[in-house]
Amino acid sequence: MKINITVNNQKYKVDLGENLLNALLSLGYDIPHLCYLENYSPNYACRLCMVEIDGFNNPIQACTVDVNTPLQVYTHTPKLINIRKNILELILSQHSLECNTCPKAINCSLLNYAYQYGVNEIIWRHVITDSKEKDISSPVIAKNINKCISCGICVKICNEMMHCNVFNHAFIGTKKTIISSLDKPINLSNCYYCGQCSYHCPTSALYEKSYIDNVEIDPQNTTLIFDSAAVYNLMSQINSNFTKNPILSFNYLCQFLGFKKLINLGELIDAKLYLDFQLLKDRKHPIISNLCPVSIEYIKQKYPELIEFISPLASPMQAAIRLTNKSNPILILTNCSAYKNDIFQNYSNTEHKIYVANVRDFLKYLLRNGYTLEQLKNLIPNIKAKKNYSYSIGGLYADISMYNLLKLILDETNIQIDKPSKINSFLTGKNENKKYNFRLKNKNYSLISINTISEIANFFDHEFLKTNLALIGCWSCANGCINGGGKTFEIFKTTNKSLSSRNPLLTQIYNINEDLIIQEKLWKQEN
Amino acid sequence: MSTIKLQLGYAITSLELQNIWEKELLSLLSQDKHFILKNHSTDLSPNDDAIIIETFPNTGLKGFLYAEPLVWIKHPLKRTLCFRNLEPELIPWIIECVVNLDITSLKPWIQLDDYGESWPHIPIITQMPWYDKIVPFLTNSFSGDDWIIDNTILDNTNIDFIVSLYNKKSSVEVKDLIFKSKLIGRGSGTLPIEIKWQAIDEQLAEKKYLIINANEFGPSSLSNYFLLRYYPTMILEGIITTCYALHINNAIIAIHQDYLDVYEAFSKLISQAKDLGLLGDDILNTGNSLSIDVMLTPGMLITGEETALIHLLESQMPFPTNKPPYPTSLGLWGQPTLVHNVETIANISQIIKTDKSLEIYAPISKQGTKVVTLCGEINNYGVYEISMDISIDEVINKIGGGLNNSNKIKGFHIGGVTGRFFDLDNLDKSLYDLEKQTNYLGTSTIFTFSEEQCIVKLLQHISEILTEQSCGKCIPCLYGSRVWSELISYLSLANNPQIPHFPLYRLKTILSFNKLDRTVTESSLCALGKSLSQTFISAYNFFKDEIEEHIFDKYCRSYQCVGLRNYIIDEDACTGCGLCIVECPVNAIIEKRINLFVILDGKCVGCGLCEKVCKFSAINLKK
Repeated sequence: MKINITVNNQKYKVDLGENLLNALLSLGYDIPHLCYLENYSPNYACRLCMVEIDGFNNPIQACTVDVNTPLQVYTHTPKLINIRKNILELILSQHSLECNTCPKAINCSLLNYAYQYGVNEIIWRHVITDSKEKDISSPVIAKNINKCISCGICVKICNEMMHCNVFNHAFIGTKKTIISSLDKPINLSNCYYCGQCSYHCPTSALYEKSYIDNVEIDPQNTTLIFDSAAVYNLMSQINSNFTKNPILSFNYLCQFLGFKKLINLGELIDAKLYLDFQLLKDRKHPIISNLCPVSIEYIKQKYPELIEFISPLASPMQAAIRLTNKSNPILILTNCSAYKNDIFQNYSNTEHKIYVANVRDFLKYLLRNGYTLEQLKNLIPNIKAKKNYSYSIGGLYADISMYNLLKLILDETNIQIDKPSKINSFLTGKNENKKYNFRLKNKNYSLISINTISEIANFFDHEFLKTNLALIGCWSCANGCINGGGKTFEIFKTTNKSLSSRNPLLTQIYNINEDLIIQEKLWKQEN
Repeated sequence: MSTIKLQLGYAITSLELQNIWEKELLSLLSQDKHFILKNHSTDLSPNDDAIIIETFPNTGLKGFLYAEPLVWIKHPLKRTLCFRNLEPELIPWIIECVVNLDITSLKPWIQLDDYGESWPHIPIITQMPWYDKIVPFLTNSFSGDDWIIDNTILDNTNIDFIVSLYNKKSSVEVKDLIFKSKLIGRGSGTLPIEIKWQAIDEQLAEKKYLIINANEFGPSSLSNYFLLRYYPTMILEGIITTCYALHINNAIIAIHQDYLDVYEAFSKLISQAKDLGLLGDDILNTGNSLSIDVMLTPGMLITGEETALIHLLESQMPFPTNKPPYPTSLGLWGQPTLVHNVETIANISQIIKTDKSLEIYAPISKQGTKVVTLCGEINNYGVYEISMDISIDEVINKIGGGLNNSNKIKGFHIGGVTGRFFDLDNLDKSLYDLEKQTNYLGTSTIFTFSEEQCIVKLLQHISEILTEQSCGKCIPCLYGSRVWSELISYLSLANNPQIPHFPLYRLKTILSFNKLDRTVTESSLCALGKSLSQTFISAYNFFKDEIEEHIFDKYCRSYQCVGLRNYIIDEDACTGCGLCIVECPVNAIIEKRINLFVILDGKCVGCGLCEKVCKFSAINLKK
């Protein structure tokens, strides 16, 4: 059901019960917000998303309003602009202003809002509490509490989205802070390094460490292992045309940069799933495929009795590193911080010389070495979409690998599909119906894909015992695994804190795939 | 000597202290063979040659903190005598004197106006200036019957009340009575009870909660402790009445963790009530059930906000949440929850108990009573129940007995940390008038200060407490309180070597106050943030001259602000020893010429170290 709202005298229709801030953002209004997370209960800490609504005397935060009645909303009245500016000044008065060396630097939304709202001078500047030490104990995520603005978004994510309960509020008043697991350093907490907090943190109070900032890489000798999700993210920033076939255009790019040995992690994920399925044929029990480090770690800790169900094969990342030569350094291009942690845990003491970079670090590396985006854009020939495209982006979004496996099985065995639309359910990006049952050689099989820790917990608590002969893929991050819920790093833009359903990069993937599926069908009909 | 029966009662507001005091007293009395201790519950055969002493703990005058320990002694033929500030060692001797009817060497405080012969030359209680100013509605009156009632023990009157409530009154009747009284919440919200009660009554949920907020915060607020300490049975009755009227089955009393003694006493009382069958399942075969839990909670200012208290009881961070939804529809553990102040609950029980006195004492705004804590530079500090329409002047002078050292009063402050300052022009107004004027009463602590106090110093103290107590949920209040506290501290600071261009920066910061006030008031989540700057605004309204002197002239009338003190060197007295140069922490003293020392005004922070160190009294405060 739709409902009419009037925003700044323009009329719109929005869904009944939708969050007002969400609705305004999707209508294209630029409402500043630092603590709002789509699909989760509002935090209302930052108070920046204030709007004026007819019938209310005072401005009211948009994130706390659900649209149940027709509303008359004003988003940028002089009063509101003034309030926002003052709040930004208040935040900046206590914020560490080390913007030059800040990991967030040009992506900082706080900096952007301060610029937008004309905060030229911070009157109340000298109120700085003692600067506290950084927590750099973990290899992946670092905490710099001096930059924390107490928005509480990390707490919300850690507890509501990921169910890890690592971060929490502590103390009140002048001591108010965010602590990890009873004030232990992060590496001693039960953090799985999903990286959601550092991605969503509006400032860089929590940030992902970079390891290639001080490293010079010789492309000739280096083996490049790439996650196709990261590649998609990288190529889309150079030129949106490249997203039609990111892997191929990335190959061109690597040729230009001089990388000779490339390993596609996506293909390994596809292969790994297929091998797991072969393993399943000889078994009587389900197999949990060890793909996502976070969810496997979660299962190991929460359900020790299920360890025997985890696939005995090496994980794709281990397999990729096995393929490389020990004497050559390895550069891993991935956005997944759990992979990063995995590599540090397993390979830090071995002979391997491994550098892990996410897309932003890699782009920084390119810019530092004199390449410009314009140059790279013109370098790569215009590429048309390949016909077997959907196979090549396997691993881009973990569920796509599941989809690929299913297609492969169906092709191999010539099973007739009753409902062709049902196999596409893996691609819809929604949690429900990511399951497909089929019969092969008098045995019933099923493929199950589960997203988010809460769903994983739900599944293993209630449904796991009822399933037999299933290949189960678990992914910890909500709505997909491009470093968690469509986490994509864009170097020149402030990070879009909304989830994948509103992330244009991710929605593009789905659109392309749907086109391709139609193309494939046409192609099959022709032959 | 024949047998004589004496009655002896005492009250010390701190239960913990009273227990120690009592132990000492009883051991002293039992050592002496003349005395036979007779507890009023057990019967002993009278000895011919002894004095039988019946003890009545928690009785007599209560809340007169300045006069504690308060002890009263009743000779069967004479009027009751009341002693103040009494140590237990003196009591055996006092008893001897009273028995011998010779009290010339004693100095009793007052005598009661009850039956028996009056003692000569001892003031009668009715002559005391506070006698008719203290209005007993919740508290016991000073007459003979009420004098010896101990409200910390469940006795027959309490049991009768609860039994008759369950058996004779319907819940609708109780509700009607409360609605008719137009009772207003005694917390700082000042919301009519009717609104909350109707809201929770409409809810259909099976499980409902009643939370008693006994988590009072305030450096000088004791009114909740006073009620919990002396009138726990009244609060218990209030809880039972409310729960009965609104069909609530679960009540929680959230007690401040510092009030551990009261917590223990309350737990004991509740288990006693359970044994009597007044709590639990199917009370008195009426089908009603009620369980009361007592919980210790850390005392925080923010828990005055009901949603924050609910979160605290759910063992979460004490963060307030947005309203609506109100706790009456979505509260503790997601169930409808009614949150009441201790005093409100006491009023509810008293209104039901004394329907007849409803017209006289029912807390209908002007007619109601309020338990206030009198503190500050006042002689008779303590906790008193006063009428809402008595003027503050009378409270301070009649009940409070004027200021210490007969200082002149400069102003007063009402309502705890988020309260308001008032000047002398408001002295003739009553609490009711002030509430109408400011829409705020808070904890109704009346804090008085003399002309020796600096208003900025007081503001600074309050702002520091507020900064410590801001919960940190919403950014404007968290950061606003810190900035606010910093800003007030600049008022009393002329130089700060750590900040470049301080004088300009200081003025700019202080004059941005309006902006800060607007920001914090408009954008904070709960009442704490919204009232953050109210204390300053009220002080600025009434003490404008003094604050502006601080801002522009860098001058403090009462020389309380260290940062604004100016020292000068008396050239004649100075011997040029140069000790002050060595001691000065900011190098503000220089030797201008030989044997001519000068203090640089721009550098001096007014610490006064040079004055202390000078052996020839050559350095003095400039006045």
